Order: sequence, then C-alpha cells, then structure tokens
Amino acid sequence: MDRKRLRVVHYLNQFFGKEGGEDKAHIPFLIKAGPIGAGMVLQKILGERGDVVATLICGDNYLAQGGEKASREGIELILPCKPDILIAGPAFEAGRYGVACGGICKAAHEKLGIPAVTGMYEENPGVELYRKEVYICKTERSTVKMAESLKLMANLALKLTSKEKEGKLLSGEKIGRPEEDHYFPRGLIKNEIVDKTAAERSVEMLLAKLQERPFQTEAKRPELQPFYPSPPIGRDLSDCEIALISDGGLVPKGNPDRLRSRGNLIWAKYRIETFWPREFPAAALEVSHTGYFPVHVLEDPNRLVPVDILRDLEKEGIIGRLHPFFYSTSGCTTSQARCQEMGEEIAKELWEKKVDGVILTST
Amino acid sequence: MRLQIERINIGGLCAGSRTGMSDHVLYVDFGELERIILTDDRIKAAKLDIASPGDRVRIVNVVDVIQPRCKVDPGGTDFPGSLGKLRIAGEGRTRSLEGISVVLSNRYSKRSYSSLIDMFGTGAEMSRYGIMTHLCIDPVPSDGVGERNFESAVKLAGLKMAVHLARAAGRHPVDRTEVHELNLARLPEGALSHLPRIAYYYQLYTPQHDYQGISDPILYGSEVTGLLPTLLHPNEILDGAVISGHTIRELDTYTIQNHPLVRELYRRHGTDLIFAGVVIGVASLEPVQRERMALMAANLVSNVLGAEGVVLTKTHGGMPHVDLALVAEACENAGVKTTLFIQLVHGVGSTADEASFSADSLDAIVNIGQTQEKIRLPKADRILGGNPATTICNPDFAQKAGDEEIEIEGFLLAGVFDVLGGSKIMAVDY
Amino acid sequence: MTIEKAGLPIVHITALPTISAMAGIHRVLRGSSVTNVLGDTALAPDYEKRLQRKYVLRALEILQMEVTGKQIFTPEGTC
Repeated sequence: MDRKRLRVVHYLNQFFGKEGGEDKAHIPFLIKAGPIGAGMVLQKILGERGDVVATLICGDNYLAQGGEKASREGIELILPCKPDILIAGPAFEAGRYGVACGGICKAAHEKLGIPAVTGMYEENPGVELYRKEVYICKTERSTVKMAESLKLMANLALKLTSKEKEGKLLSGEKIGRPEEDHYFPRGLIKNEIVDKTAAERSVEMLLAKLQERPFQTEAKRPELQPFYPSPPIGRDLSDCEIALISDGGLVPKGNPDRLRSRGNLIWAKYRIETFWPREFPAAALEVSHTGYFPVHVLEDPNRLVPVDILRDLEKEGIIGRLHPFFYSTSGCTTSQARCQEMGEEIAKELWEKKVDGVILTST
Repeated sequence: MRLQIERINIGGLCAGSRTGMSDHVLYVDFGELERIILTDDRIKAAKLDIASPGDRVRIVNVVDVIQPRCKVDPGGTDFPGSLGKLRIAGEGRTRSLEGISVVLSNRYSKRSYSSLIDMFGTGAEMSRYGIMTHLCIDPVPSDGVGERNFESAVKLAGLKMAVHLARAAGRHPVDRTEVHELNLARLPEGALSHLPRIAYYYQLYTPQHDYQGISDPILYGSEVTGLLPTLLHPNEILDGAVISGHTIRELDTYTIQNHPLVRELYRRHGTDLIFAGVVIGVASLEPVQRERMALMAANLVSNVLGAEGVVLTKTHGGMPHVDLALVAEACENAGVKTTLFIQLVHGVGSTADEASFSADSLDAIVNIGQTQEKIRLPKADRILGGNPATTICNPDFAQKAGDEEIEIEGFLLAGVFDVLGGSKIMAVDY
Repeated sequence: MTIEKAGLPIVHITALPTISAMAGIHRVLRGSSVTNVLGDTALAPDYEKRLQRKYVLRALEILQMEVTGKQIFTPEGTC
C-alpha cells in the first residue's frame, strides 16, 4: 500500500532554532523551510515516512507569555504548509520552552484539527498544564538525550497519524498506553480489545484474590480528599434565607434552556414565582433526566423539590424566606469534573446573594 | 439438574416456499411466519426481512435479539411463563441454532433507549451480531392497542419465531453438544471438596426505568421489581427462565441464553472451583430496601450456598452500581471474597471515578468497558425496523438513520458491550 | 461537595446516600426512593404532604447542627 509521506512542522524555540540565546527570547514567530538543527535528526528518524516541511521558531518569552493570542499567530504561519502533524521541542526541563510547546501543540490541535506531540521532563511545569490536552512524551532531564527523545516523539506521531485499523483500541486508533508509548497520562478512558472476556477475567481475578495471589484490578478506587464540614447556620432560622437546588432535572415545560437528559453540562436558575405557579405546578414543569422514570415527580413536583413546603414554612415564620430562585441541573452521567465546576458556579452565586442555607435534593 | 444444549450451525437463512432445513441452510416461509405472528390480534401486520452479514443494512428500533431454541424432549416447554406453559427450565435437551437470530424492532416505542445493528462496516466488525444472519421482525400494532400492551405482543412474537425456527431444524444432525450438569443439593466429595466454592450474584433488573411505572416481566413471565433475593439453578438461566426486558442496554435475551459468566463458571467447575450456585436480586429504589436486599443476598451466598467467593454482575445504570456495591460489601463482611463488574460512562477522567464504593474490601473490580464511547458508522443503503428519517439517539446533535455518517454511543449498538461479561473489551486509563 | 467546601451550610437529601457520604459530604439526609425522594406514593396525599414537611424540617434541623464525622441522617436519627 502506498503510504502517504507525513507532512511535519517542527516547532523550536529561539535557541534550538539557531536564532540566538536568552537575548532573543522575545522574538516573535518566524517560519523557515525544511528542518533546522535537531530537526535534521528528526528528519533522519522519520526517513521515508515523513518530511519536516517547515520549522516554526519563536522566542520562549514571546510564546510563553503571549498565551493563546501568540499561539494563534504561529498557527496562521504554518497553515499554508498543510501539516499532518506538529512536533514541538522537546523542551526537556526548560520551563518556558515547555509551556510554549504545550501551548502551540494545543493550538494546532484545536485550530487545525491535527495531532501534536511534544516532549518534556516530568518536572517541567508544561506537563501539568498541558498533559490533558496534548501528547507529551516523557524525556530525561538533559538535552544530551535529544535523539532518543525525538525517536519517542516520532513514534507517537506516526501512530497518531496512522490510518491502519489494526491495533488494540476499539476506536481503531493505534496509540498505545501511556507506559507503552512513553507519554504522560492524558486523563482519558479508552476501550481496549483484550484477549479474554470480562467473564473469564472476573473468575480468574476472584480465584487469585481467594488464593492470595497478586491480581490487577481494572479500576482503582478513588482517592478522595476529606474536607472540613461547612459551619451550621449560625442565626435564628426565622431570620434565614434558604435556597433549593436539585439535580433531578426539573425544568419548565419545553425545557427552554435545553438541559440534557443525559450527559448534561449546564445548570439553570429559575425564578420560583414564575417557574412554579401556586396552582397546579405540575402542569408547568417537566423532567429532563434519563436515569429514572419521573412519573411520581411529575404528579407532584414537591416530591423532588419541596417548594410548597418551604413557602408554607415562610408563611408560618419558621424560616425567614425561601430564596426566590431555584437552581436546576440534571445529573445523569455528568462527569465529576463538570459537576464540581457547576457546584462552584452555583456556590459563588449563593454566596453573593447571602443565602444562609441550602437544601440539595437528588433522586 | 442436567441440561443438554444441542447446537446446530446454520450456514444461511433464506426466504423460501416452505420452512425447513436443507444442507445447513434454513428456509423460512414468510407467509407462514406472518400467520403465526398475527394469531395475536394486538398485531395488525408484521414486516419480515432477512439481514445477512455484508448487507449494507441498518436495523433500527431494536428492542431484543433472541436465539432460536426449542425443547427437544416431549413435554418440555419453551420460555416457560413468558411463552410456554409454566415448568421449571434447565432440564433435558434443548436445540439451539447457531449463527442466526431473531431481531425485534418496535418503531412505536417511545422509550429512550432502543438499539441499532449494522450488518456492514464498523458496526458489524464490532458487534457479535455482525457475523450472524437475522430474521428481522417489524410489527404494527392493531388500532387501539396501548404502548405497553404492544411491547408484550412484540416480545411474544419474537419468542414464537425463535421457537418456530428451532423446530424447523428438527431432523438436522447436531454439530456440537454442551452439557451443563450441577447437583447443588449435594455437596461435592473427595478431591473436589478442596476446591473453592464460587457463587454468582446476578443482579437481574433495575426498576428505575420502569416505563410508565410498569415493570418488565422477565422471570418465568413475572415482573421482578421488589423481588427479594432468591436462588436459581444456573441451568434455568441458560434455558429460557429469564428473558430480557423491553430495551437492550448491553443485555438482550440472546446474551442471557448464552450467559457468559454462568458458562465460564461451568467451564472451570470441577477443575479450579465448585460452582456453588446463583443468587438473583434486583436493584432497589429505596435505601432501606437496598440494605435489606444486600443483607439477605449476602446471607444466601455465604450461609445457604456456602460460598467462599462470589462474582457479581449488574445491569446498566448508576443506581444498580450502588446496589451491587452494597451487596458486595455485605458479602465481604460475611467473609465471602468478591469480584464485581462495573461499567465506565465517561471518556475523560479515570477508571477510579466510577468505582464509587467506600469499602476497602472491594478491591477486585472488572470493567466491561466505557460504554458511552462514540462510534462513527457509515451510510447504510437500507433501513429495517424503521426508515431513513428515524431519529438515532445522540446527546449532542440530531441525526437520522439514513444520514451520510452517524455517531452513536457504544451501548446503543447491540452486541458490542455486554453486562454479563461476554465481550473482550476493557476500559483503561490513557 | 463544592458548595460545602465553599463554606455554605448545605444538606443533601438523596435516596443514594452512600455516594454522597463517600464523596465526603457531611450533611446527608436519606430520602425515600429514587423516583420519589421526599414522598411515598403508598400514602394518602395528606399524609404524604406531612412526610415531605417532616423531611424539610429535618433538613433545616441538620443545617443548624455542628457536624464532625461522616454520618447519614434519617428523618428520625442516623443510619
């Protein structure tokens, strides 16, 4: 099969790009045809499989401090080269260079839709900043290992651009596990096609556990950091404002904010007076959540969100008042990370509105 | 109990003037099949098709896949309670046709999760159904028949067809015989008594999706919401006592008929372990009931089955996950070692995110994959069970069955992921 | 969890309390059922309303408590 030669753009900082040292750390992007310096080693490694069609060079300070705007400039420059992949660095332990490489790789992936690979030493700040978005090969500290590092990066680059479908991932991608292809874990979960069925694996695992032989669990337990409890409400309840939140997916009929019934990513706030009419609230509401059948909640929404109860308590003077807004989200298979973000966003609002206490109801 | 499954390899499935086998090919008379289906007056009409591997066909609105099987012994009943007369399943001879299935579509269902089967391209490569030939049934309800009532009629039609096809292979020689024999009432003696006793906790069902608040009948024709834990002989599971509900979600009747974990425990029975038996349970909506179930299930596993170890499987969903963990924890507290199944539902994060258990004893976890991985499927030339305008579920954008390319979450592709452990897939941290 | 971490008094009423407790949330009140967390369809409407009120009052009570370890509250006490 005639495999197309990969078009590679190589990103280097001012030093490796042979423009100068620290005195040139401020220079903006420039682009040169073909490989430069270490890029020639990269070209040799690629051999028949690809060509370093251009080298993109930038001063460390310019890119590391210029952020996304600077990255975009670099991407504009390489667009005409029609690259299949961007390879940046490796940066080894150079912090600014690492951040710059991470930034340009992220931009290449987002703006051009091409894979991008860089290389850094584990203590490089660029690793934690970018490993979830970019493939960062693990390199040693020293630039002496340039050729070895470029080999790892080229290998990864070829796998990422491979059109062949064999490989052990269900998706057909050729990439190997982080420890196999020597890159920092991306924080992704991928399906592998393995030799044994889950049934076979489970019986084998159980026998090993029983016989006190070592076994490899297929999911580790989460390490949750305990935190201090929030203080109790310090004032008289009759003086307090109580807010209601729910992740059961209760929304106005028609779901105007389009809360998704599964994998939802947003929360919405509704003014209770209009959202929940005093008469027949059920007619004005619906549930967007596929994790449970909402028939009972639709008959009487108080079963999920006790608005009427709190209104009664307000009237009786037991609480000061019910916070005028209800915060709604739908929590069916929303990722932990997004749940945390939403929690922070809602917490900020409640804090600003000086709410005294919160009741969160779930299914 | 002794069950003998007599498997016949079917080379092809074709429409013909008579129903019968000839040289490993099963011919079916569509007219005859339709007449049988229409004896149920809840069904006005039924479109029948055959889908073969390689056909650029997409079967949509799939609600179940059933393997053609029938009892061979006189007096045996098929799918007792669901179709045939009530008798305990799992004894005697059962004929099973390999390489073909009955695929049921219900385009009138308003439930969220109906499945899809592609007979070509990526979808066929990934699914165990991609290499089989299917009799596709696409029924139409009679006027005035309610949604739930029609669902029952569709299921019944599928079971009838499964039996009818199996009966048609009557005189054909058997290619492979599988014997499952287990005397649970008598403890093993001699050398076998040193082997570890391993039980299986089978979480059959979860009521959180009970459509319109009504439970699906799956055990000898009975609903199981609220069922307290009880014992089943593994042969009953393999022989039609348990069928799937009205949506697939990584579990269909075909998979239950060939229950991968039950068969694996049988395979190793007598050499590496003693198959101590099966406890079945159902997930609970109420926390008190959940706790009650967990304690009772653990008691059955430890004190009634006398198991030292137990493997636990779950149905699709988050609440079943919590339930399963509680049962496993109770088993560990009773001195029984556990290995439990989980499924991942996110592509970003870590496998640890999904293991929401607090007990340290739950350290042996098997995952059946990240079931919401998005899979791209190419254009189909023909749609069965629906039409090119049929909506195909995608949480991010609207799409139709006939589109140039569709993107579907893995769990909606029948035959890829499997909550009973039959797939060679594992989710890994990358 | 993040709302609690922000220092706001919050109580989580849920029919899957073990998950919240595992995540470290300190004020968790066990609800009735996944499909009806504050109610009980077996009860007549008046009695169900009383149950809903009982849950809310208990939740407010818990919000006024100093809490230390992990415990799951019920309408009457703790699990």
